[in-house]
Order: sequence, then C-alpha cells, then structure tokens
Amino acid sequence: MGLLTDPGKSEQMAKLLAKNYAKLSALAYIVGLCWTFAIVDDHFTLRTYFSENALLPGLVEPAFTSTDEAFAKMQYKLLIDLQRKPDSHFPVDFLHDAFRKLGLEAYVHSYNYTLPGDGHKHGKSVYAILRASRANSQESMVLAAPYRSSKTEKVRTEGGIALLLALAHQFRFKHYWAKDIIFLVTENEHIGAKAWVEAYHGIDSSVVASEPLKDRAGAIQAAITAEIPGPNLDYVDARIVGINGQMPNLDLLNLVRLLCSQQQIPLVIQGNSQLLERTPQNMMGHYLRDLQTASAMVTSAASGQLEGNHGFFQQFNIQSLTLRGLKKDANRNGRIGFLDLGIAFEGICRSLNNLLERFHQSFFFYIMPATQRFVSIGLYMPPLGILVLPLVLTALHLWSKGSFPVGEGNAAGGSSTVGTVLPWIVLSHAIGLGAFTVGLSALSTLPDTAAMMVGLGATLAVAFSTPVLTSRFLREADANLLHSLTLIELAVGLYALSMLNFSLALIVAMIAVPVAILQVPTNRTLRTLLGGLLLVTCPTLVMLGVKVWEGLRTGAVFSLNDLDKVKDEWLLPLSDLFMQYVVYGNWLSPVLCLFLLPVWVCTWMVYWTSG
Amino acid sequence: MEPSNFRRKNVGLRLLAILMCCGRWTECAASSGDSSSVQHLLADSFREELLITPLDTEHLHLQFKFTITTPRRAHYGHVDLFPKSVADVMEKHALEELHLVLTQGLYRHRQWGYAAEAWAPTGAQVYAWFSPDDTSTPFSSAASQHSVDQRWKGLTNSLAGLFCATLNDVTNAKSISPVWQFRPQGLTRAGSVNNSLVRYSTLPRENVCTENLTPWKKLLPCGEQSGLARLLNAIKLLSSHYFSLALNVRPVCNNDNRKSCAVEEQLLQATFTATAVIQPGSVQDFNKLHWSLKDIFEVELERGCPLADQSLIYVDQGLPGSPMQEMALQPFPSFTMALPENNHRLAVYDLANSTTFNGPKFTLSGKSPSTVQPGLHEPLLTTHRFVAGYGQHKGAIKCRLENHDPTSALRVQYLEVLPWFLRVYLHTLRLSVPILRSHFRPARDRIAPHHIELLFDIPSASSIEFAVEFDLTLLKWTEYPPDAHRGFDVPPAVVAVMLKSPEQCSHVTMMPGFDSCFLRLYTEALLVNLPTPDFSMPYNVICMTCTVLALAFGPIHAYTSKSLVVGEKESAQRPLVKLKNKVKALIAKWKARRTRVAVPDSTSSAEQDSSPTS
Repeated sequence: MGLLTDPGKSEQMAKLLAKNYAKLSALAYIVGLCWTFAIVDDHFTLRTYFSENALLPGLVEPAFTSTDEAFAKMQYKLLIDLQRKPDSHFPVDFLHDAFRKLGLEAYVHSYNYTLPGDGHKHGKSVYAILRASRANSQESMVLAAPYRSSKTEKVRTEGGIALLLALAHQFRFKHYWAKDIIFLVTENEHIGAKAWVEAYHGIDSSVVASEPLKDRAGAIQAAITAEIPGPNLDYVDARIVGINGQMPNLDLLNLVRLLCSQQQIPLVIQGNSQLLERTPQNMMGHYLRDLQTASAMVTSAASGQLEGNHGFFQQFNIQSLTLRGLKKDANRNGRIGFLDLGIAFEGICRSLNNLLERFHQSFFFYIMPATQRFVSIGLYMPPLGILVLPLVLTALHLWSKGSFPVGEGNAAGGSSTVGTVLPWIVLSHAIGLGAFTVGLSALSTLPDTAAMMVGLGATLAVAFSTPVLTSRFLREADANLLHSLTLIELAVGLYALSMLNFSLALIVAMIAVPVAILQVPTNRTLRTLLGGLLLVTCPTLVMLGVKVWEGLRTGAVFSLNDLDKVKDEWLLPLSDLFMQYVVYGNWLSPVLCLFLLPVWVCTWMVYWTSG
Repeated sequence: MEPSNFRRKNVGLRLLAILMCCGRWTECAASSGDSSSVQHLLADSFREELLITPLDTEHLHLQFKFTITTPRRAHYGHVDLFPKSVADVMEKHALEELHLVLTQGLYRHRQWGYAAEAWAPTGAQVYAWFSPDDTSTPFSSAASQHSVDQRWKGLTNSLAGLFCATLNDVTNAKSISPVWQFRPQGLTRAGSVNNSLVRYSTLPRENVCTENLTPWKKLLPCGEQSGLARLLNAIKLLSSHYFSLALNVRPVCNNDNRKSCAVEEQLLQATFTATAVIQPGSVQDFNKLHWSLKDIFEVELERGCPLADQSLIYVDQGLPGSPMQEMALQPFPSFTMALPENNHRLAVYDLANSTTFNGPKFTLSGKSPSTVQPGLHEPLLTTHRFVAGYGQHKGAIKCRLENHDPTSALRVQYLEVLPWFLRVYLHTLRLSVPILRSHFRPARDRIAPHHIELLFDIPSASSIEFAVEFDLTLLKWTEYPPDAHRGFDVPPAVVAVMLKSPEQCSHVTMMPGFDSCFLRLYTEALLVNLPTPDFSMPYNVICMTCTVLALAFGPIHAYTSKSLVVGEKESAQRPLVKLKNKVKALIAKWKARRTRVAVPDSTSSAEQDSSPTS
C-alpha cells in the first residue's frame, strides 16, 4: 500500500494492459525494427565533421618525397628477400639495425606467452623511439605494423614495415615534433601487440609474461596500425571496431579519411568495397549499400572480435585504428604506391602532433553507414529502447495476471510467489555457469576437442532436459511468474548490455524479443512451431550456427565425411570464443553462457509447463 | 628606502632600470661617489667559460658559464659587475643560496652521458636556502625576520618578474623542504643548515622561451654585446635538443677554505649557466662529427668580454685513448690540460690572449673522424620512470634504476615529490633493495605535496625498481588547468649519487674548478590522466539546468508557498474598507445610470470640450 498508488487504478491498468499488451508489444517491436533500419538512411544520419580544432588536418606541405619513397622501396625489397629465405623468421636484427642506423633509439622486447592448449611460446617485438627534439617525452604516438610469416594467408605486411622505416627516415632531424613517435613491429598477430601494450603500461596478464621495456615515451595519444602488403594498391580499408565493439574517436577516423582523400587514396570501412564505386543514383541502391556497411559494422562489433592490433590500444584508452591496404584484383597493380601512403601517413602524424590534449571531443559511440556519414549514440539508442519495450509490457502483464487474476481463473491452486520459482531461476543460471566453466576448463585440453564436445554436450543435454523436472514440479501459475521474471531479466540485461556493446544488444534484441514474449498457444501446430523456434534460438546453437556460417563464407570447407575433421572444424570455432575471452577479454562467451543461456533455459521450462 | 619600495612594486620599471644600467654600471656607480661601494667595486670579478663536449651520438654538448663574484655584505647598495637585481633579491628575501633553472627538453643521460652542473629537470626548478632569523651575523638583513614561507612566496614572485617565467605558480602545495637532498653548495655557518630553511619546487609544465633568455642575458656584465654571450643566439639555442638556463647564487670564500672564512673574505658568487645539446652534423654525415661555432650559432666571436678576468673555451677530448683525442681542432688550442678528478683532457682557448685569434674573428671548428657507437658505453647509472596502469581510477609510478658499474655498489639518494591530487599509499611502496634511511611526509590536500626521500644502495651491475601506487581523485572544477585533457604533470624524481673513484667520475664531463664528482639525475616528468569532466559540457549543462530549474521553480514555488483559501469576499474585509467599497459601488452605479442617460449627448459634450481649443 504505497502512498501514491491507488490499488483500484492498478487493477484498471492491469485490465488495460491485458487487453492491449499484445497489440502494443507487436507495435513496439515493429516500430523499433523499422526505426532501427531507418536510421541508416541519409535523412537521419549526420555528415562527419571535425570537433577537435587542434588537429588542423592537412594544412602542411608534405615533406615525404620520392627520396623517401625510394628508401621505402629499398627496405621493402630487403624485407621480401629476407622473407623468401627458406628459414625466414621475424627479422629482429634487421629491423633493430635499420632503426638504429636512422638514429632512433631501437629496442627489442621479448616475451613468453601461454595460450590454452598451445604450450609455452616465445616472441619478440622491435620498437624504436623517435625523440621529439624539443619535447620532454611526456606524450607520444605509435605507428605499428605486424609482421606476418610467409605461411599465413592473411594480408601481407612487408609494405607497412617498409613504410614505417621510410617514415622514420623522413621524420628524424625535424624540429617540429612535439610528441615522440614510437615505431613498433610485432609478430604473433594479436599476442605480440598485447604483450607490447601491456608491457608499456606495466601490466601483468595471465597469458603473456614479458620482460620490462627498456624505455618508454610517456602517454600514448594515438596509434595507427598499418597492414600494407606493398606498393601498387587500389584502396585502403580502415578497421575501426575493436574488442567488444569499442570504437576509436570519430575525429581520428575523420582525420584518416581526409588525409587519404587528399592523396586520392580511396578509403572504405568494414572492407565494404562497394563504397569504392560510384554512389548509386537510385534511392534504394544507395540505402542498401549504407545498410550493408552499417550492418557489417554492427555484426563485427557484436562479435566482439579483434579486427586488427588496434583493439589492444583501445583497451588502454589510446585512440587507434588499422589501415589495411588492399587490391581489387590480385593480378593487377593498383596506382597507390609508397609515395601516396607516405604523404598520407605523414599528414596523419603531423596532425596528431598538433593535438594539445588527448582525443576527448567528437564521438566515441557511433555507427558508420558510409565513410562520411555517421549515426551517433543519441540517434541509435531510442529504437533499441522501443525494441526491448515488448519484454517489459509482457512481463508487466504476466505479473499483473498473477497478482490480479483477470478473466480466466488462472490462479487455481493458490497464488504463486517469487519463492516458488526462484529455484528454477537459480537452476537455469547454474546451467549457464556450468557451461561457461566447462568451456573455459576444456580449453586446457586443446587441440583435442573431445573434452569441449563432451562438456558442452552435457550442459546442453541438462539444459534441454530441465522440462522433465519442471513439468512435474512447476505449476502453470508459477510458469507465468517465471516467464515474467525471465522477461524482466532479459529486458534489464539488454538495456545494460546496450550501454556496453550496443551492437550485441541490438542483435540479441532482434532475435530474442519476439521469441521470448510469445505465450504458449493451445493450438497444437502453433505450439510445435514455437517449440521449434525456441530450439533454433538456443544461444549455443545460434553461436555454433554463426560460426559454421562464418566458416562457410570465408571458404573453410566442411567435409562431413571425415568425422574427426568435422569435430575440429565445428568445435574449434566455438572453443575460439572462450579462447578470445581468455586472451583478450571478449565478452561474448560470458554473455552467452551467463545471461542468454539461463534466460533461454527459463523460457524452455515455461514452454514445457504451460499450454 | 623610498626608491627601493617603489622598485619592489613595479617590476617593469625595475627591468627598465636593469636595461639602462646593465653593462654601464661602472659609470652609474662611479658617479654616485660612495667611497665604501667604490672599494667593493674594485673587488668584483667576472669569468666567462664555454665547455664544448662532443657526445657519442653526433651531438655536441655546449655549456656556457658566467661567474660573477662580489664581496658579501648585508646591504648591496652599489655593485659593480654583479647584477644588481639579483643582489636585491638575495637581500630582500634574506637568502643564503638561490638556485634557479629553466629547461626545455629532457636531458637524455642514457644516450648523452653525464654533464656536470647541467642537472636540470624539464620545466622550471627553484630551490633556495634562507638565512636564519639571527641578527648577530654580519650579513643578516631585516627581511630575515619574516617567516620562510613568506620569503619563499616573495622570492618566487620576484623571480617570476625577473625572468618572465610563471614561477609565481610555485605555492606551498608544490614545495617541500628536502631532508637530505639539495644541501647548501656554498659557505655555511652554524645554524644555517636546517631543513626548515630550505624550499624546493619544480614546475614541469613551464615552457622556456626567448622571453626567459633575454632577461637572463641582460644580467651579464657585457650583456650580449661582446664575449661568449654573443654566441647565445636564441633561435639556435631554442631549436636544440636540450636547452637549460640556470642561475646559481651562493656564498663562497676567497681563500678556498670552507671550514673557516673571515667575514671580509666572504664573497657572493652568481653563476649563470646555459647548457645546450645541439646536433651540428648534416644528414649525410653518419658516424662523423664536424662542427664549427660559426655554423652552430651563426655568430662570430670578435673578442672576450673586456670586463672579464678570464674568457676561456674548453673542448673536452675525453679520456686518453678515446676517439675524441684525434679530433682536429682549428685553430690550435692555447694549451691542453688534464683534469685531475676524472683524467679527461681539455683543449683550452684563452680569448683574452690575442695569439688565440688567427684572424680578426675567432672561429673554432672541430672534426672527428668517427664517433663512438651510441649505446656502447652505457653511463654508470641510468633511470627510467613511467606511469603504470591505465584508466581513471588508480595507477602506479615506477622508477627503474640501473647500476652499470660491474664492481661496486652505488649509494643513492632518491627524492620523489608527488602532487597532492594523487593519493599515494605508503604501504604500496616497493623497493627491491633494503632502504637505509627514509623520510615520508604525506600530502595534505591543496596544502602540501607528498614527499618521499630514500637512501639505498644499488648493488653492482644490477637493476632495481621503485614503485608506489596511487588513486586518482576528482578535483574541483576550477582546479583543472587549461587543456585539462592533456593530463596532469608529475614532477621528475631526483636521484643523487656521489661518485668515488676517478673511473666512475670519468663518465662526467666537467669544467676545471669543479671540486667533486657529485651527480644528480632527473628522471622523466610524467603525465597522469585524472578523471576530467568534459569541459565543453558545463556550458550546455548550465544553460539547460538553469532553464529547467527556472521552469520548474515557478510552479513549485507557487504550490508550496501559496495556499488556496476559499473565503467569503465580504467577511474577510475590514469595516472601513467595506464602507469604502460600498460607497464606490454606489458611485459606480450612479455613474453608470448617468452615463446611460447621458449617452445621446456624449458627442455634444465632446464638441464642447474641443471647441475652446479650436
């Protein structure tokens, strides 16, 4: 009996809700969905602009000349020659000497790392610091390039390393630097970058044990990672999405875009090469292209995966992105060479050099439908709010149905309290926790996936078989309450998740909301249909499906004949998810196991109890 | 008293006075006709020196040193060569010693090695020893009765005016009284070495510019008119890799006997030091060092300062056997000498001696066939300090100290002054070697910084780490500096060590006459990111909140302060008012009736009214 609530009124509200919630929910979901798809359109997006005036982009005469280009070509050739050697490995000495000869302070950083199921390994990074002559090493920026051995199928990076050397060649002896410039070359992909960034900040992690860095250059203001295969490129792909959907400051992307466009370097985002072509004249084509770009960004942010080494810098609040040089046709040479790239990189560095403060203006939360248009957080949050609204409405209705029995006598056999359903909620979360623990602990048995398979199979079996218990002990009235509480948990969880990783929350909401709010119908066919829908949306299965689809899309062929191979190819991606959590803290696996799986198990229980 | 008070108030006028009299003080003083001051005039002395040291890294280390001495006295009415404004500062704030240094860039001792007397942290550093409040000593002035804090404040403000630096930012919240470091460098007397009499502060964010160099040069007897000071070309110096301007004032004794010095033998010595590290070589000259003073400064020397007793240029040729010994110097030096402290060989040019000049102008140049590979000779002691951790909640300051001496341990004094807005926890202080002595004074918010002073040994050929953790705090919004998102500067740590053997001391390049191998290193200044509000927002927020508040306030105020009373109109009124109202009502009624009657002839009355005017 609150002071402000009138019990009579709540009953009215409950009646009103009971009458209209279905319509309202459907409306909210449809409106939310339409709105979500609409915000990508040109009419709703904003054109990007520079917020940080101190950047002063592209105002200086480029100093990078053909001499530096020749230097880059020479270094590129040397690197390729080293690569061609039969026993080629990370050319630590070559790079160290090269930077030393240019008069930079060059250091080698070595580290050991232990990946689950992979044993102890050793790695090295080379970094060189160009000291700004008149500054006092309080601030710096990083130009990084990963080294890739000739065995990997990823984009080659020798061009990026050669470019770094050429930039160092150009930048030394200049008096205008106000920030030190760190040139960093790492191996072992993500691990190398992680090891160096952590060592720079004096952080110890469970995966990497590294020796302390010999010298540093103060607070890093920005980092650009270059994955440039070599000269003769067609366009550059800016990879901005970091771990768990983290984004760099929009000003950094603007800066890169502007300086690339000054050099006539086509820039795309999310690898969407459609952006290179002429803007479609018809509205639909234009819209579809924007939607494709934006959805590519949303899915990649939702997956929480690392798209380049820039993600580790972002974890330390360093604004960073990866520039990946690409060719349209592997057999044809593009027109972009070291000179264009060098001038663009020089411009970026000189603009960053102008920064008086860290990046703090502009946007940190945005979605890009095109290189020059963005959707800010203020625009994309309301549709998600509306999209999740049906959960709240249905939960309220179900709650009031339990408290104020309306119409049909559902409350037969006494009222249900939270206490009666609590054990089931706890059980569902225990299953989730079990799945998470099994997933993590099975990592140590890799590359043998048997443990992973057995463990996950067992938890899934438990999850699927919970209705055996619930059908005996859970009454239908309790099922209503359980449903209501489940919906509340899902709604609260989604709203919270949207603050941390909007993209993940959006995708989960799109799939989960309609399934979760549906009440078990009495019609047999419909009932079976919903059961099937529920089965399909089981988070673990969804994830497996996504992984398999990803594998199919990227061309990894799944052969059904060889059972061992199937096991490896289907389960390794799943174990990869747990691996990502361990190595760089991708939240996807905890979200799946500790939030979505319990919610699903509860819904599954409700399905088998009611109707 | 009147004029001096006036000068105190008006810094601009004082600078003008310096400008007018500097360099021509002889005439100014002679015309005054004060016999006692004339006696002092004769005793002032001035020496100018330049030490050129080629470094391993194709850099050239240049140190200008201008030393002026005057007899010490209680009141500096007139001075000859000694800068009057400096003497006034010493007198006014009753100082024993004053040390000020303004620095641009970071001295990279790991690459460049050590240079004696070139110890300076990034930005500004000032420390001073104050006279005790003791009227019995011959040099005590009336100012010594003021508290040290008062005098410190006055001093920093005076120096701010004198050198156009923001030294007035030095507050007690940024100052400490070092316990073991920064001991007096000159004469001391009983009772004058007491921690309460010393103040030390640094401003790591201070930028050094020509506006600091110009007033500094004007304090020299010859100004920049002649002598070595002519070489101080602002553009060249400020585009160097490291540039530091220092003023050190200390009492010294005429007879080299520090223990006992008669009153009449005591001198006040002001040393003006300018240090620069310059890369003279062109891009193509790898591994070679070719330099000439003319190329470096674009100025040619004609002669030494005529007021100087000595004008010397030294070129450090390193230890016997080093590649620098083969450096071809042009012209040939007046003579060479070996420093007894560290066995370094110096080539000396005496500018007072006309035979040094091989023409009308003096152009010194050097060529060495090769330089030592950088990094081969790591200096004896290296330091590296950094901020560990990330985020806006907590962090740690770590400092690594490496002793490269293969045989002997180094005893090190370590001083860390951390601003109060870092919440430092003493229990998190880690040092991998035993602490021999320690002093810790925790900060008080907005009043005093953290003061950590340690004494420990670094074992031979080993590296140790100092670490202390801190929490970050949210400041009051007016306490954020401009460009708040740049971060907050943490002053460098100070590492002091006394080198014992000549082998250890050979790392140090020094001028003759420097009597001990004392080394003081400054680590990097750090940037710490405090949680900072978005300062573009306050404006919006203030505007919006004010509007919302204004809109909300009206109705809320009305509802809470006004009560709606349903009362009868009549009964609430007082009898007199009631009567008045009744009368008014009656009149109104009567009027209404009249007007209703008079409506037809209202036009005629209007005509009547208007007729007189027409």
